[in-house]
Amino acid sequence: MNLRFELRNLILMGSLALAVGVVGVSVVGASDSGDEEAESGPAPPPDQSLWTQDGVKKQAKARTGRHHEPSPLIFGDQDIPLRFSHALHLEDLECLDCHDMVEGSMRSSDRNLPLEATCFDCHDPNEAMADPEAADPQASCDTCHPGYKPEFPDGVENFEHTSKAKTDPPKVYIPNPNLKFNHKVHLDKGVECSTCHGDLSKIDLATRANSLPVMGTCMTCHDGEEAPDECSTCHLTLPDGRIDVNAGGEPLAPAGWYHADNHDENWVYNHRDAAQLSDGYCESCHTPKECVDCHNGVKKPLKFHPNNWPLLHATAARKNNPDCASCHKSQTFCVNCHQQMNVFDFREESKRDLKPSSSGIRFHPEGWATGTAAANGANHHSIHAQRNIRQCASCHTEQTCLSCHSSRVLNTGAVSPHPVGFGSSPTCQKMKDRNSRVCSKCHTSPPVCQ
Amino acid sequence: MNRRSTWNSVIVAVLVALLWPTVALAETTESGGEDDFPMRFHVSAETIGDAYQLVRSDNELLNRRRVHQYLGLGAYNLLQDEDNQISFVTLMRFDADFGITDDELDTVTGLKRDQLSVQTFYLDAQDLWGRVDLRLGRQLHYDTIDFMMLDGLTLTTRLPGRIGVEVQAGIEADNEGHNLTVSQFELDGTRAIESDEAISVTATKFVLGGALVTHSMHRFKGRVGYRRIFSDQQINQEKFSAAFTSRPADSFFLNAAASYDFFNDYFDTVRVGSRMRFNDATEAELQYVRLLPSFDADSIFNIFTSEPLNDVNARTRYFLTRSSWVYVGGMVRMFGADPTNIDDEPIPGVDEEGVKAYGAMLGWTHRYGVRGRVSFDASHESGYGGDRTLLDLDGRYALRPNVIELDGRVTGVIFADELQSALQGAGGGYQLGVRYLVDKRASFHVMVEQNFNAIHTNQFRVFAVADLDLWM
Repeated sequence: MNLRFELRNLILMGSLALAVGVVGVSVVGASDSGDEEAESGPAPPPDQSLWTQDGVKKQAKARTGRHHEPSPLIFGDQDIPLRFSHALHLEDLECLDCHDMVEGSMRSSDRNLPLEATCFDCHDPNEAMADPEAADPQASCDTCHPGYKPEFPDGVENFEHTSKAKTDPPKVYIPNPNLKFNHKVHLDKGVECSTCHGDLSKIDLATRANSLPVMGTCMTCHDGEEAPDECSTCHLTLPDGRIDVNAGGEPLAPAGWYHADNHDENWVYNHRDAAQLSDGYCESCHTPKECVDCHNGVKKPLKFHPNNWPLLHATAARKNNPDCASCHKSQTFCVNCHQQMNVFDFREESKRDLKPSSSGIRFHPEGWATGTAAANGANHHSIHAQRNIRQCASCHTEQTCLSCHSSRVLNTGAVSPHPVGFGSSPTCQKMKDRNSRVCSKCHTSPPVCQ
Repeated sequence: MNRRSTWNSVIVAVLVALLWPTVALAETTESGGEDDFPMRFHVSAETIGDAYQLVRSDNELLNRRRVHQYLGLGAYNLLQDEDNQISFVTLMRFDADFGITDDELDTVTGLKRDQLSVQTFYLDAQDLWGRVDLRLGRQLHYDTIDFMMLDGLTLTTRLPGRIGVEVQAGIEADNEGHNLTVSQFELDGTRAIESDEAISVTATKFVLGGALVTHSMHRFKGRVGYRRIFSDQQINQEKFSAAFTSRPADSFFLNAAASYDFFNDYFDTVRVGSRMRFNDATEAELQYVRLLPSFDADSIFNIFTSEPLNDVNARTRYFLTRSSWVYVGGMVRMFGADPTNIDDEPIPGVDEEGVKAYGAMLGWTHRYGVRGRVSFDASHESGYGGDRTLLDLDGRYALRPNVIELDGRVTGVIFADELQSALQGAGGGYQLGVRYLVDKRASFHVMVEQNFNAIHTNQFRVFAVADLDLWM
């Protein structure tokens, strides 16, 4: 007994210490990083290694945790083998100088990246081929395509005709976003580029992480008044209007940035907080069948009940952890199964004091159903019924209680289940007014509430 | 097979026969589909087979051999109008248990060898005139008060000021009284078959309810509702409820819910919870639940309900990356009992502060994108009810993403039931499954499970699912 007690105390204390430690270290860590930022001096000279995706990735790898960045399930993994600084270009240019096609873009699959010819307006490759050092701005191929040195067939004099090169530079790959979007509509309404893409004058290479919007960015305008806020406004949908959560391959699920709805390891318990509002939010992605699948007990997620559950569930039911009533009706599901399993001895002769079954397992201890709690102590059934009546209702029907507690048998020495003074309390009258049928289950004549 | 089985089989046959004209109609519609917002049809079928054995307390072997067949038919965008969407959705399930013996049918009241249930059967209208949602027919309704399978109408009107009014009216779909439904969503606490003649639990239960709900509020969502279920002019359930979830600060979420039972004259549920994000890596959640179970007002179990169950849960998570995190948590559950008897004398062994169940848990989850995930959980529970230490490792791995996936699980447990000394010992088990996705519209899943424990030396289970999901 002592050993078990010490072990559980050790586990509990260890868990608590770990939890406090994790939170403490993280909070201290966060405040430290804030101090460093506040005390930092003037910005260092531009580090051109950060103008490439390798540099951006290296920066990202140095961070731990999860960051509120666009989901890779919405904006798939990109490959941008370029060297580019928006910060540098925006010193003299406007967004639309390079991304001019965005004004007519009506589909999210439009790339809206400038063509090479647009770059050549300033970066003259002919000048660079003649004297790379003299070109201003720099215009050799590897200025933008790091490591790329093209070979041209003999006779090519105009190096703007890059299609004539024997080898191509590494391709830029940006997958179609799993989203609906119309740039034209937004620009026509006067939305600035920076509203969605942020301040690119502080960004070098624009990537998913640093220049594409998160859902909260959209929701600043899509609030149901200024702009529509239905999920289907932006998300790809199935024909029934639900979000197509499999559009990106891996199932899309809320990350919990805007509501407490992160579909994490505890969501199977926490989802009731969102579902109980019954405001259609869950049905944005789920069908009622998915509710029925679990809550009606045919196909539960493997994770919910561990192996050996038929053997373990009695302990869990007594603790009401998990809440059995969420998925099982005690008076049909539980009682039926217990009767089939012969766990519930429902034979008339054993109602008063349940006997051990033929396997030797005695369900209730001695003195469980006979006498009173005052005589038999904490293991009397009345104490356990008060603690969690649901555990009783999973094996017993009302008939079991009636066999002793009904006014018809009270003269045998059984105890009235009503508290002292119940008959003269307002609760008696209220219950009788609302439903007197239940009174007649125990009382031969209608009870008189005083 | 009894008469009801035959009748059910006929109904299933008719429903399946209806499937094919629907498919044909859908194909015709698609071929002519030049509309911007065409009518669409959905057919889903899911077959679930489940076979395992259990040992009864008298050492007799009990066979579980079950088949469940879902059939879902839906017709969407019936008006072909994006602004006024009307759909018809139905879902049926046929359950058959081939393991039930005639003896069990005779002994266990209400047991059925097979059952056809209409799970949903409704006409759904969304966003009519930009402000009305309507659902008419058999539907699953869930809110702070309860689950309910409703045969009737749910009507929600969105008013200016981000408030909507919801009305529910109809009858509770009642398996015991009217069949063709499942009992899970009925009010609990009574069994029609064993009730006194004076108690009309099979009488039609009428439902009237209403709620005020918020809409288009992104930092606060709330609901205040009332519902009365009654039969033969007597109340079966009458409750008032209120619930909200909110985000007072960017990294802080708060939610609460309460439900008041007018029949029993007490709050049967009070729940308060919060979730906090401290930084990119760390978050925590804390929850308090007070539960005082209530049943159908026809049930005498209400009379025996007297002490609330108080429950506190806490958990913190540390995110290593976006796809990988660890958690540590704990729970305390307090059960009460009156420490004195009817003569106000102390009951030996019953403390005024009640008894506690408590536990701690920790775990790790890592997601590998389309390739799968792995997670490990460990927990220990003790106190009221008994002890349980559980170790669990489970994962999923896609041999070919979105084509062939393996899933598996290994569990070990040490347990000791508080009341039954024979129920204790160690156990273990594994589950191993393979899922083959023919394409997005069809998949097959087979899983085997084997358990070893102190009571049963070997317990084997086979579970198979075939899924079809067609949009036309």
